[in-house]
Amino acid sequence: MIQLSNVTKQYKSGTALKGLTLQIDQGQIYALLGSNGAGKTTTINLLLGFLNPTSGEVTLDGLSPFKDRKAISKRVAYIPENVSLYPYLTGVENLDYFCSLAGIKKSKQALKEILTKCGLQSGAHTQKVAGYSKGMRQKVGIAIAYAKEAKVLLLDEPASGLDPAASNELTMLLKQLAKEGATILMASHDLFRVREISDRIGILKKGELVRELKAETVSANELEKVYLDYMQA
Amino acid sequence: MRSIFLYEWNHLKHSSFKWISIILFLFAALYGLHNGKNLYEEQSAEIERIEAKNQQERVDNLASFSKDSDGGRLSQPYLAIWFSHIYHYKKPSPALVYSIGQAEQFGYYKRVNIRASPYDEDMTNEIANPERLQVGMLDFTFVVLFLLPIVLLILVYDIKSIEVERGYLPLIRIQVGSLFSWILGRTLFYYVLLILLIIALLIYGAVLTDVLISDSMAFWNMLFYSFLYLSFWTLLYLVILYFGKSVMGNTLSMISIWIVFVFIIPAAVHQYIGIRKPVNLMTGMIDVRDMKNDLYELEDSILRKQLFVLFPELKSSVTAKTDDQSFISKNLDYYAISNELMKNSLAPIKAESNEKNEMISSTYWFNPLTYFSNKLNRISETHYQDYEIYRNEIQLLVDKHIKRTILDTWNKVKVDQHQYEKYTIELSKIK
Amino acid sequence: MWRILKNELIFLLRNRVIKAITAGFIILLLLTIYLGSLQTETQSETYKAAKSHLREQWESLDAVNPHSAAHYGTYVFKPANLLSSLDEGVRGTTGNVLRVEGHVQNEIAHSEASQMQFVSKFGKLKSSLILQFIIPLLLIFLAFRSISAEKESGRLKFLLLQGASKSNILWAKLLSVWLFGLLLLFLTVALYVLINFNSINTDTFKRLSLFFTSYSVYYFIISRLTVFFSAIWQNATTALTTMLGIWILWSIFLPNIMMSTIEKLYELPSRDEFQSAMKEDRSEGINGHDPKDARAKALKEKILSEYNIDSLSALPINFDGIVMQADEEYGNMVWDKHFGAIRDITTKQKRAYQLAAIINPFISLQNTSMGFAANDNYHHQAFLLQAEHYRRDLIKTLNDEHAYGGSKTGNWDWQADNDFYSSIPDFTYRPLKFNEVFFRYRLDLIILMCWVILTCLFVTLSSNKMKIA
Repeated sequence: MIQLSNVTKQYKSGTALKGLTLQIDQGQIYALLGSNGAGKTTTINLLLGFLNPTSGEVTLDGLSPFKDRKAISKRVAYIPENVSLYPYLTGVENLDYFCSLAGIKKSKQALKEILTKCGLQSGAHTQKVAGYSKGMRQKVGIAIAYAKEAKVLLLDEPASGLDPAASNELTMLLKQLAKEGATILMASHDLFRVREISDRIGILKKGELVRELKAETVSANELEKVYLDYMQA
Repeated sequence: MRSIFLYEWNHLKHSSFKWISIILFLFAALYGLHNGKNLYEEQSAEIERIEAKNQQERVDNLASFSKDSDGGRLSQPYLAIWFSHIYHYKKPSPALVYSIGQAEQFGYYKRVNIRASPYDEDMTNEIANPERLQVGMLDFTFVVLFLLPIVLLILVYDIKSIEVERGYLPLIRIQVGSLFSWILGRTLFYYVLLILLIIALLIYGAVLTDVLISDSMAFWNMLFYSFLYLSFWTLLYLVILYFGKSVMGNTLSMISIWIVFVFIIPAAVHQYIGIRKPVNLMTGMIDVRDMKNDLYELEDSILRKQLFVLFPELKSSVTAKTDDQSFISKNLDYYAISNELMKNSLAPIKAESNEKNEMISSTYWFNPLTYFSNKLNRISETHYQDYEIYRNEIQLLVDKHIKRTILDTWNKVKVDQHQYEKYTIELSKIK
Repeated sequence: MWRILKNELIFLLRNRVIKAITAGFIILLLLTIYLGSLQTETQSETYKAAKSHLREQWESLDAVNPHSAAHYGTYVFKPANLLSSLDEGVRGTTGNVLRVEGHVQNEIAHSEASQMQFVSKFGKLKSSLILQFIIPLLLIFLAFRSISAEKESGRLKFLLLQGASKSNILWAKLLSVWLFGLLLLFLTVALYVLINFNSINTDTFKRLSLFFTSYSVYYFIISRLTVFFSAIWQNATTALTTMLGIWILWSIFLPNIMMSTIEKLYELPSRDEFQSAMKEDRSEGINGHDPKDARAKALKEKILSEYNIDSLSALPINFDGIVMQADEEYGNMVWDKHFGAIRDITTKQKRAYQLAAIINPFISLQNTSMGFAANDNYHHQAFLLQAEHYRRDLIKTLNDEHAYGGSKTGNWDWQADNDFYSSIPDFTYRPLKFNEVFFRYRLDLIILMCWVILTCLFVTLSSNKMKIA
């Protein structure tokens, strides 16, 4: 479970988050919407433990990401907008490498199975990542999270730049992971995809959570209208 | 072009890193110029000190003529010439301020007498810490030849490639029309900037030792070769900038070229020469001592015959017309002939050095650093060739001393104050 | 950490450009060793030929007066040194031929640099040139993106989330680059050992080990600093330019400036001053109260009273030989004083230069490299001192023969035979023992180790300061 209570993050250049309070339960997919600089990435970095909140409390399954870094790293997986892997390694080798860093030892066959499960075609498993498309790299990123059996998944603009088919595949995969019990927080600009994938949607503006919606209660058009209203306000 | 220059000036204004490089370069150049000036002053002062000492010796000797009615020991040409205390100097050129060159590898003062040779032990370099000699002294030439290409690199390394990386090169291409003239213009800005810096530094150096007054050609030559050298590097970098696509790639290429030209090629040539022509241990010259010993074994008449071959004018000397030549020391014959033997033995040694020099010169077309170094050394008269000329001058003076000693001895010249003074003047001049 | 290190090594092995550069460097280094050995061999042959030629001349001396033989003298040549193929040190600038004769200590003359025009500022293409200047640059190029590339690509977050610690990442990056440098260094030394296998003794082996150690430590410092800057600077270009600046300052700019400045702090006399002072001391006495004539007179009286006679003609030995030896010994004292003073100054210069390594570790590298390769000023001075001792022994033998060989005072025609001259041993140079050299370069090794500690602190600092988000 993800919990942010009255979290503020202050940088030298300004305030990134102002009293953000948020709770995401296990198996839920939560989407954060907001323009650039709204505080989405800061929220994710706080949850990853790379930043310490100026005030307020951030917990993941009751643990502080900043303080209990080791314990957190076993539970959390992160998928950025651009999954950057080692281009000179193959898909399987990349997965093996990141797994071994987390202390996970799996056979080559098991790794291949995970990659297949995450949608990477078997022909690509032993190809160098240098030749992968962005979608293929995202799949390896998800495979890393999957292999780790991560309880919490944090995604930063995961579908940006993906073609519709790849984007759709990603949606399916995330839904599958949520069904298996993962808690997912996703920052995005893609209103359509967000409405489709998530259970709840939060709109961030200048570091404040200005609105929270249940995805099933709004259509894509309505969501767009609400979002634009807030942005222009 | 004006707008490109203005743009570039704005660009430079905001780059602290580039300014630091320029300041460091200036500091090194000024330090180098002062090193050159110090060496020039040191050598000049040392020459002055030695010459003052010699002058005093000559004054004392002149005084001895008036004390002794018959002129005492100095009345004989041999002793008078021996005690003429004549030194031959390689006076430093004021252009030494720019290039120390090989000045630290050779001696620059030498006492000339009938037993001297330009390859004597005292012709070796001044007392110095060999580790310092090996590191070399930072002079203006070093700054120009080694650091100037690096400063240029720092100033131009990101031209075009940074625009490529940031993705707005197509925009610039549309705006400026010709990409090449845009790159050329920006590069030229730094070229002109560095030329101005070099001119300023050369003028500063000229003020330190009055180069413009005493040797203005040296100044202009130095300027010409510095321009040429800078142009060489600018051209090389221009090619890289035009074809290069990334800042890293360009930096890597430029540094690699710098390393190849500055380190690898000269060092490889040096190594090649070391293998082909190892250090000459001068056995050819050493062997002369056995030949000299053999001279002593010769009968006096044979030795004297050889002397007459060397100096045919002896036949008309006062002594030659009389039968009594016994008062003339055999040593004089010996020194004169030894001197010839020594010259003969040195010929192949010099030839070998010349071969080495030719081998080095033949690499100039792919070895610009050595080419420019030697050109600049030549301007400041600190090149091997300048020391070779100096050695030849010493040899000429030694020949002159021998000839005068022998002729005057055979002509029974009795040295007086006037004659002694004449010796000190005549025998210190090469012509 | 080992897993990250393994990954870094895979990167080095799989990258085509790095593979090509590595191959190029290996070829270049092997070439330097091969050419260096070839040159040492050629020089060694020239040396042997010259030495035996001079010995032959000495042994062919006819029956002559010993004092004539002292004037005839001989020549000592600077021997080739096996380790020159690694680092030639001061060899190119020092003289190679030393005339050994009676009455006077000559200067060693005819340096290689004086026999031709200028070729190269950084000497010949020896391994040290590549190892000191170019390999560090290569390490900088390999390391400057090590952390910043991970940051810029976002992989750093991935690595940290997978459980890798910042310090582990920094260590692994550093070690991979360092190991690469070590590989090149090892290949160089290994080939050197292979080519010269038969000539390598324990002493050479110890020298090689410390040669290897000081380079390894320097590479560590360079790699570490580059990784440090890669971690703290926001972009890779700044890390690269910072390290390039450090490289130029350390290896080109500062050694030059520091050496020149130190030379001005501890000034050496000019040759003319040196020789005039020696001449003065020799004729007027070291303290100015013991002139040559007085010394000769006192010696005469002493000998006459020793033999209890009142005239030199009654002396059973040749007094001339005794006078010459006494003068020689006095001259030796004078030389010891003046040459010693010069040695003291150069030692002070060296000490100051060694301490300058506190701001520039490259100096320690340069010092130890030429020191352990037996081509520094210390070895050169040791050679000069040995040659001088040989001169003293030789001249004393000749003077003693003159004095006690059977001639009487004033008999300059008396001759010693060829057997006597042939029995005088030739000069043999005894290389310095490793321990003596190690003693001299302890300071450099200590300073290098201090730099390692300092840079380690940097890394700890950088892992704390390294911003992830």
